[in-house]
Amino acid sequence: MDEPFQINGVRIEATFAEAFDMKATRLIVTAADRQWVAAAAAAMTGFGTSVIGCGIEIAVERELGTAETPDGRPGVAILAFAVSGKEMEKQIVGRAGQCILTCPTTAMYAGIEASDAKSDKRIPLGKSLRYFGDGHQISKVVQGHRYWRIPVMDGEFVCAHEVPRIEGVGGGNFIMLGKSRQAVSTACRAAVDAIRPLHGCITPFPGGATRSGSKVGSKYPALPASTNDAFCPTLRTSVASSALAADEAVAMEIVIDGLSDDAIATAMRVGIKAACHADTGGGLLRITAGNYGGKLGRHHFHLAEILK
Amino acid sequence: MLELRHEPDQDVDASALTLRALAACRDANQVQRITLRCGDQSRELGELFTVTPSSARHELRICGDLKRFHRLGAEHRGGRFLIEGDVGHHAGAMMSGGELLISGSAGDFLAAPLEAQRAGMAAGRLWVEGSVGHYAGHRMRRGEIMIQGAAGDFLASHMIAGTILVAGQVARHCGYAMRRGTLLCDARPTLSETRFSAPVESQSPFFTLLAKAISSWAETQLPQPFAGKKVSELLAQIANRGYQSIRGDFAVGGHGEILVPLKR
Repeated sequence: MDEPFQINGVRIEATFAEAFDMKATRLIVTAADRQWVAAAAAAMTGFGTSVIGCGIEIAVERELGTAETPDGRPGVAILAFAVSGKEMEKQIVGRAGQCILTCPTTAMYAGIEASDAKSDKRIPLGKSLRYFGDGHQISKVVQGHRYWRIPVMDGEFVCAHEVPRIEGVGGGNFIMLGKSRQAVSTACRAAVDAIRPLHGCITPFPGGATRSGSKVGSKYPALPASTNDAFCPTLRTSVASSALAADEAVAMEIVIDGLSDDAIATAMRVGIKAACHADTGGGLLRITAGNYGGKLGRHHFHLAEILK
Repeated sequence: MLELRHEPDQDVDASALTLRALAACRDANQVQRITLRCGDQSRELGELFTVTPSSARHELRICGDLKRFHRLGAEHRGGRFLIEGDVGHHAGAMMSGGELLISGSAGDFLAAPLEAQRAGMAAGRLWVEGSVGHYAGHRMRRGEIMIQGAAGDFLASHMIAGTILVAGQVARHCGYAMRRGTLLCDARPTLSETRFSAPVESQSPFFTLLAKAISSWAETQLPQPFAGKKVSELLAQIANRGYQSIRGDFAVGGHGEILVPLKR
């Protein structure tokens, strides 16, 4: 059985985060300059914080230099996670069409190599968007990969025909508890800044963190999830199951989606350590993690194991 | 590896000389007994070539002045077919995969259909260090043809799709009845003003992608005595400086494109 321990005076609970199988993919977006890249990426990843209400969790994984992109222009890698392949396809095609195709000077490529040419797990990109060319689109095959060149008002929109869909993991998490919003915000930002350079994972919530951590179920039948009352400070005396200690006034949660268990474990370790060493003036008190008793998700990240 | 003993006194139909046929042979003796039509006679391979076994499993290498050998690489499907020397007509006819590399020049109908077939090259990469004759890429459906030297008349005629690059001069009637596909040339060819559009300047990130792929392949996969520099330079100019794009052939409702780099 794990025992609680401390990092830099911050108590680490003997618990685990419970995460889930998800469908994942990576896209590469390039443009003529960083400004257009940023605009396209912001549009593509907007309203993509949680599968509960947005249908997809999507964010920039990292910036790419000109030596790292297929066409030698500035770019970003974007990771996306969804519960089903069907939803993934609907979201990616819609976003690509409305947010990347529309943005001046962009191009879009697959960020995952196909491991099995005969697999049917593909998300259409240019395969769907090519019709916008109204018959004037051009298909080219380079090294076995098909690309579409779609005429638009600034020249051509170049787009990969499709991108592979792979298995990913969603819902890795840790919850930070402290004395004040300022202290916990400082810890959050330190954690997110430390996670940001890592490959293979994203923190899809605004600023990388959420304050509306949820529990499964609701008194309202229509809602699949509702506020995590165990960590709500205003309910500490109203609910029997409050998980807050007397000196804990605020909780914030960082959720991590990744392409592998290792990617999530690494992000949790790096993030938790950065939070514990952030300058919160002793305001960060405890770190725990959210789970459902291990009954729903098959990916378990024990804090003691990750941080040893 | 096959080395030509001496130039034949009649034209040879070399279409039976394929990687598949050689791979099916148990040993060098069996290879030597493969027969080729030489004029109106049949001759064994061993009479025409010295046969040396090679450890390269998916490669056939032939050396010599093969100008009288026609249909070399016809219907080539996979692996590498490497020819050190000049070749005759119909080299790479209807090839559908793999690589055909020719260190010299080729005759007419490079990668074109044979007999009454309506479709030419369907896939693969065909590289010619020298020049090619007339009707190169005729009825091409897919794949890449790269020519370091010049091309004769009717280059890319009736082209359906695919990519052809010619680093040298291009002769008359290029793109005749082309439907789609991309032809990249170093200089603007003479084209009918009614069948082809006026040139439009443009630039596309696609050609940087293509240039990177071709130059990476040329640097790592192209063996001696191939150099590949002119094709890589043509592509780099188109990628970096932009190009003039000419569309046609309107006489057949074609949407093919002929691209020429912008010169600065």
